[in-house]
Amino acid sequence: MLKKRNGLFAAFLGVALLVSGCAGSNSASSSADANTIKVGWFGPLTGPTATDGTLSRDAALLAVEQVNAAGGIGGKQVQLVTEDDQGKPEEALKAVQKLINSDKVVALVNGAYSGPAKTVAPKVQEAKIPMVVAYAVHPDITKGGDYVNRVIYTGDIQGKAMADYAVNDLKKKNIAVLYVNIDYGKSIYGAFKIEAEKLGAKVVIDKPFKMGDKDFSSLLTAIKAANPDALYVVGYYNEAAAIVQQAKEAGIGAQLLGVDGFDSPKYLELGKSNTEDSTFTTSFYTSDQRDIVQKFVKDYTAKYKSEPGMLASQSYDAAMVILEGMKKVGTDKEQLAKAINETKDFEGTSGKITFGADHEVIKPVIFMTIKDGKFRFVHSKVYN
Amino acid sequence: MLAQQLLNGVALGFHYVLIALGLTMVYGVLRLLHFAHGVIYMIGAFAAMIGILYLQLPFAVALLFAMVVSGIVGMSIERFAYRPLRGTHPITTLISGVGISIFLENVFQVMFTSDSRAFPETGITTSIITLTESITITNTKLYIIIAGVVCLGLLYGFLKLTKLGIAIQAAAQDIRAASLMGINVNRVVAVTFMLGSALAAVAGVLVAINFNSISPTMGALPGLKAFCVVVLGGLGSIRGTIVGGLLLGVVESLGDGFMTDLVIDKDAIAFVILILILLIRPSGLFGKHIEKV
Repeated sequence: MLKKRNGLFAAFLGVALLVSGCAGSNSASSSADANTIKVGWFGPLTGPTATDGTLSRDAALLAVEQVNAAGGIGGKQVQLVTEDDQGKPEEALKAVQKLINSDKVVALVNGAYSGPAKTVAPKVQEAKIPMVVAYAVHPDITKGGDYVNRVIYTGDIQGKAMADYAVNDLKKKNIAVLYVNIDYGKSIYGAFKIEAEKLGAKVVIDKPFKMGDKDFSSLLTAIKAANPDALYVVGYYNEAAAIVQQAKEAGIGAQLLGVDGFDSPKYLELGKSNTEDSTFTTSFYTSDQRDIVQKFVKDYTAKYKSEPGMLASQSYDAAMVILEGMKKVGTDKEQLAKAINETKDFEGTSGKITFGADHEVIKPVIFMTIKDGKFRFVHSKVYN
Repeated sequence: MLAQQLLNGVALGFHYVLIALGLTMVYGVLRLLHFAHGVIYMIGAFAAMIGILYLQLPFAVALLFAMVVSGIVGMSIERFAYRPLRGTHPITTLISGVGISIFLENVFQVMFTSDSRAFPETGITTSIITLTESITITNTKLYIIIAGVVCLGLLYGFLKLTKLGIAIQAAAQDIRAASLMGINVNRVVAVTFMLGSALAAVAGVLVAINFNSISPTMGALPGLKAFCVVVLGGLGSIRGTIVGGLLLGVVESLGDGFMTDLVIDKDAIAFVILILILLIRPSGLFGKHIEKV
């Protein structure tokens, strides 16, 4: 009796594991023929960063569908082949090798985080496949050659932009900084510190924190003692929401400043009314009145039943830059890489996109704030 | 500022104590390292969320509901993952616990996605209590401390004054002798798991309110830290667990507040303490006999 029940339980366990395993496998693999052009996408579809990856894939898919609906590229339909990297560099490498070798994609949309993106970049250069990075900010990704471009600005630009805004516009002199202890946080904070000090402000205290930290009360007690007039938080919405809440609880009244990691509805959901007045830099806002943005917001909302955010916009633009290049020169990889590099004043959802000689994007930085529980546009400015 | 950091540490410490009590009780009775305990903590927070959001329960009832759900899950884990393996090598049961925790964590990720979500409105609004000019505490943190003290009191009373509590103590001393004396050992073990799991659920719910965030992986790190607390205090010693939990909370708070550019980060402090304790005093602060590792 006992044995039988255990057998049943084991069977249940096995089936459940199988189901959860299958949920992670890739979705788009419909039959392909000579009349389709394959574009690869990879990013996290399972694991802790799956939400971001899914948003990115959805937006890239929308870009492809829109182009297909408008007649495709030279009469051919485009197919987006997606691979899950689980947020891990080694899985990303496998995904990219599969996309290049067995799917024979002509270009790649990089919907992954910095770690995986950095790992695959040399392989992609070597295989001479044009790749556009959607939202990974590590500086090394684009350094290896002419095949990798990036539609989001690197951390340096954001740090510089916020330093300019905090010191020149908000007249803040004593700034405290909390930064997430990964490339993203360190590179943005590094540039911020240099620029802020050049402009005559002082960083009175800086403390690193880790992704996944929840209790910031000790850090904030130390920050309160330093008595800053602004608190710059370089991190993502989960931690940022916890920090704004606990900063209020600790009685810190300093102006809260942030980065594009804040730009998610989750920030408002988790941080509630504590998010009020926090101001951050990003690259996209839904109330932008340009046609391209309004059409993107309308189509995205109709298809996915939620408003697109910065991540979706970045990924949509990354795909669009590739598709635009294909419209000009077709699917020859070398020509395509050249066409992508020569992108100039392309109307993207995140502003007019131009690539510099260093394969980095030149486009405006957007400042947003939170009023009455909603994101509000403040102003935008081009930095480089 | 020192006093404020100490207070932060005590609140954090009670959070660890509530989780670690279940671990130490289970170890006391079964000599088993219950690695699925962190998952129970997470299940408690999710159960309360479901209670409030979908069953429209008032907060106090939702908390009880979470304790009951966690208690049942804890008992089921014992029944299906540990009991069939009782008497085998301790590593076998330990691995079984690790397996269960991975399994449940993934089930919750499939059901609720891996994203953090806000804890639903409970009717408790966070307010700040000013103790002195420079020392403040939020009411939610105060609740964690109060809940810690109340649960400890109830647990103490239960273990000392009720028949079942005395049976648990007897089983903790010698499970075979207890069974020869006519104690229903299986029932004792089940009750131990239920109690420990219910305490973990209290911790999970209160922490979820305090941080306004729950996610399927929220139990992983607190579960491991609770394990450090238990070893620090002495495996199976409830007194040691209380001291160990508070100590870890305070050390982490002070480390965070006063030291910058630490070679190790805050979360590693617990594990450094664990290694030191294993090297210097393997039985822990209040442990009676030295375990061979």
